[in-house]
Amino acid sequence: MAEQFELVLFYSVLGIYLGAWLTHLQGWRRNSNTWTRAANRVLWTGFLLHFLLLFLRTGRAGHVPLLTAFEFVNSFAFLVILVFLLFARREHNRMLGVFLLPVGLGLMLYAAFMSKRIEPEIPIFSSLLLKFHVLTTLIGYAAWAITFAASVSYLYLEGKQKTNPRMFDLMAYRGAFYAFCFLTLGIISGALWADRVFGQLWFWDPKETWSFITWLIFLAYLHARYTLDWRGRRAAVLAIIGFAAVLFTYVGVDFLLPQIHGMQG
Amino acid sequence: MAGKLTIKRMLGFCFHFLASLKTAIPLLVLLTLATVVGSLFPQPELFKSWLYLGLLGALGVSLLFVTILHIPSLRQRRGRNAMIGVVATHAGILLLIAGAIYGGMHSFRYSVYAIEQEMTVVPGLPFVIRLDKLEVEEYPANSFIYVTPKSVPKKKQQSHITLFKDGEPWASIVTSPGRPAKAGNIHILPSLSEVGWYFELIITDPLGREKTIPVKPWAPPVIKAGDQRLMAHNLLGEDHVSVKLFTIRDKQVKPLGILHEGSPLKMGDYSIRLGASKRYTGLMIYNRPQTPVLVAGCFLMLAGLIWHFYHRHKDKIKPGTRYG
Repeated sequence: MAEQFELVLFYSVLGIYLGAWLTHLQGWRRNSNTWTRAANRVLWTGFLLHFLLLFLRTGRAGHVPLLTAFEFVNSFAFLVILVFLLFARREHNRMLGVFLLPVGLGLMLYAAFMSKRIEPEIPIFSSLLLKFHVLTTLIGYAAWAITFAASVSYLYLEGKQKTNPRMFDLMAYRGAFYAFCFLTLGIISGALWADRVFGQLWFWDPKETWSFITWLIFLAYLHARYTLDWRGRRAAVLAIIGFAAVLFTYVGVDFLLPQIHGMQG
Repeated sequence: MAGKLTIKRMLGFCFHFLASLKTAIPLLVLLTLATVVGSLFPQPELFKSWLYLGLLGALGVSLLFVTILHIPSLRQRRGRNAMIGVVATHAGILLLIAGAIYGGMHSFRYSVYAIEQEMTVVPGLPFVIRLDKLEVEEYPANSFIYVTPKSVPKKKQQSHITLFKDGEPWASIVTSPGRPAKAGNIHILPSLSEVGWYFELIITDPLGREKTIPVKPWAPPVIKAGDQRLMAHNLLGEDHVSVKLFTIRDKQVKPLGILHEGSPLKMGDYSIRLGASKRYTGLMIYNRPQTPVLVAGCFLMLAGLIWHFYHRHKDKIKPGTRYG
């Protein structure tokens, strides 16, 4: 019964997010604040239901929902939406939603095809340090999704009259800064956890290696802005490359490279 | 007209060469590319090679010099708070690199196997290890979707160990994967995957003579029984020992059968049965002399980032200056 309810809730959230995106799209096309406000309300509804879904899942599984592939992707989508809502509240713009919500929606769709079964938590996965590692890494990637969406928005608006894309440029930088901080925390906590479990801080496993590559790209982005004064188009292109690295680390490595890193299920 | 080449001038040139972003950024790009290549075309030794470590070291030194050179202008352009954050973060990264290099030079690491109720001597360690008891509990079948319980870590895997010094018990420790035990400054951690049964095979020849062969699964011997050559390994994920036997002929390995306790296997005129069996576990024994440096590096880097986080956006950027 609880399982069925969770399933209904999951697809409802997916539908609501889709509705919020379409409403955002309409707000952007019509240049209407009314539509954008409505879209954000719809999104908040979906987000609260998403929170309820994760809460119920935690209660039913008896562990934080970061263990199986489904839980991991579902939580990632939740964080992407959360980061968007935090940024959107602050930045008041409608365009970010148009480019960012598809990332959250894509993750939810990806999760829809995964097994939703609950699995027992292996003792080594019950460590708080591991949960901290997963959570901080996901927040870092979600923050980079903001950088990506803001950079795409910048490139779209660049050169168009009557619009000033500078706000998106700054927003991309802010997202990148948070992303770098959280990814750094994630990598350090992951190394500490690996040391406790495997007696080794670093393995050069493909997932680790690609996290490191992503971290280097984030580092290059921040330094390029900070010291070389890269902004606008060049910074936006680097941000998009960074997001491609995030996607490859997150999805591509699982399919293309043999590895020991990963979720339990 | 070129001046005289002195050590001072050469050091100055090296400093300014490495302190330039025109050096640091290409080094960063090179390091990223080398890491991408190493990941896509796995070369086990690449990440330990002098080329890669040299690149990492050069980037570290370049980072240090860039930071030193840019401190005054950083303070002038972005304010004291931004400067403190940047300097602390970079100092932290440098400490991490230094810690990794120091650890590589001064740490040790042994991988050994310990059998229940037997002594394990590791040359160089100040103590001898005895695995008193190994408690193992498996997950029930059908617990997982994509994997079998045999291929995942155990539900419980606890090693009770006594350490002996000069023939006397010195310390008793309990350790399991994810919970390393410490003896002095030495860590002892059981392996997640190297756990199973050590066993003896008793081979009876046609004349009724018995021969006992100990089998350590991590180094299985080739066993001769008449004109047959055999190998054996134990099946994992079992509460009791079961052994799979193979014949080797003309470099071809063929399964012969599975041996259970109390049920011998016939092979022509020979008979094979199981003798004594005990659990064994792999143990990793290592030290971490670099820990204080790494902890200091992490702390400094994170403190720098947090400082930056709190102060960066509060710094007022003067009109006309760069932002970002």
